[in-house]
Amino acid sequence: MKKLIITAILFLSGTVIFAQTNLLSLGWNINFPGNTDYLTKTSFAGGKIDYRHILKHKNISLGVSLDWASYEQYFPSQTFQKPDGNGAVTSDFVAQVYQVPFVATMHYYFSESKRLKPFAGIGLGASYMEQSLFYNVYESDENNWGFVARPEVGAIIKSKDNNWGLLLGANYSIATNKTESIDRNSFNSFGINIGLVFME
Amino acid sequence: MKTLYLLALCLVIFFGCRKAPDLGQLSVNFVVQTSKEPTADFGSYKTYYISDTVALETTDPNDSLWFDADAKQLVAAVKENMAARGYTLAASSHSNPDLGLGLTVIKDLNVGVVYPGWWWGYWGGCYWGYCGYPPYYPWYGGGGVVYSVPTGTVILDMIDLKNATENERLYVPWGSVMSGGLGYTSDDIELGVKAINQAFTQSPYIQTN
Repeated sequence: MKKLIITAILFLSGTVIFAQTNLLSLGWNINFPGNTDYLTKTSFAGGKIDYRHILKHKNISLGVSLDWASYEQYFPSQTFQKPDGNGAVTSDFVAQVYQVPFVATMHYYFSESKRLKPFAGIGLGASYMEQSLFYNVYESDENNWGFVARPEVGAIIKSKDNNWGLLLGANYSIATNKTESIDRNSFNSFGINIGLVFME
Repeated sequence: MKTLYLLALCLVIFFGCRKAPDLGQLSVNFVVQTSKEPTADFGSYKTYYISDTVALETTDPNDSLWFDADAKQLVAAVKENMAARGYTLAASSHSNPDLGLGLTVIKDLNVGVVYPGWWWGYWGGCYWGYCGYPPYYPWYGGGGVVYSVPTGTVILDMIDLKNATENERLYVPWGSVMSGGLGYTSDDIELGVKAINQAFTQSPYIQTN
């Protein structure tokens, strides 16, 4: 873990020479809300930092990944009745959800060609979520942590000199973050990741 | 290689950063909140009374009543809705109406957190001919309902006068807090009227029949 952190810090400072078994990618995330009839609008404001260490003589890597995604959607005026029927609120509102999953990852690399390195993997970890509702002059916030599981597939398209490439990935994220105001126990999303990966 | 690092960082920073919410999309319509006592029997009331003046809460303690044509429009909206639900307007507050309806408007004040009834002013005074009977909001169960009241808020209380003596309090079986930007323009008043209509729309149980 210590080695991993030092490697990541050195890499970000732009001075590191990687061992052949390390990959670091920086990318842009596009996320589509999954299990909700609440948010439906695609998030184009997301990113990902992903570090992987490929185990010796194996097609498997272990790593860590930090993502973030910001969802925002306007909802026209609607009435919300309290479940007991004794209260109601009517307003239009802007909903914003900011999700930051931090996961440990494991990836398997299929037989690679000269330029293509396809993989499949899973990430397991914690998901921090800030959910805000803006209506008229009010703002209500709900922040919480949840567990996240994220299967993913993708491929690395390597450059000619084999020390960098393009990373394309797709994942489905299942997070247990609750949204009490709408009685939801999870927040799922489908994500696409486009990034640059550096390896040596 | 460093150029690539920078390119990747720029990509992430430019596309990936969290954006400030675009609140310009929000309408100017009021946020209309309504609450009722679970056991309230609105069919047991037949008559009501509402004053043609609106109570004002401002920074000026002498500025406590609003009674021009704009205020009357808000009162008229309440009367129209009550009539549509089958209630009869009593001749005066001394005609023993079953319900008293009170309209309050908050102006030039932004109050952080208040509890239902804060807008009644000094508790222990005389309201609706009853002295010493405090207002009582049965749905406020020890902090269940609090309001942030910005300037321009309209509040409508429905008070049980029929059973006030028996209850020894001014029981409020239904109330609405409508928060927006009620100013003095005709557009503002129109929004206030729309909010009052919405308060009744989302409370279909208010029926005398």
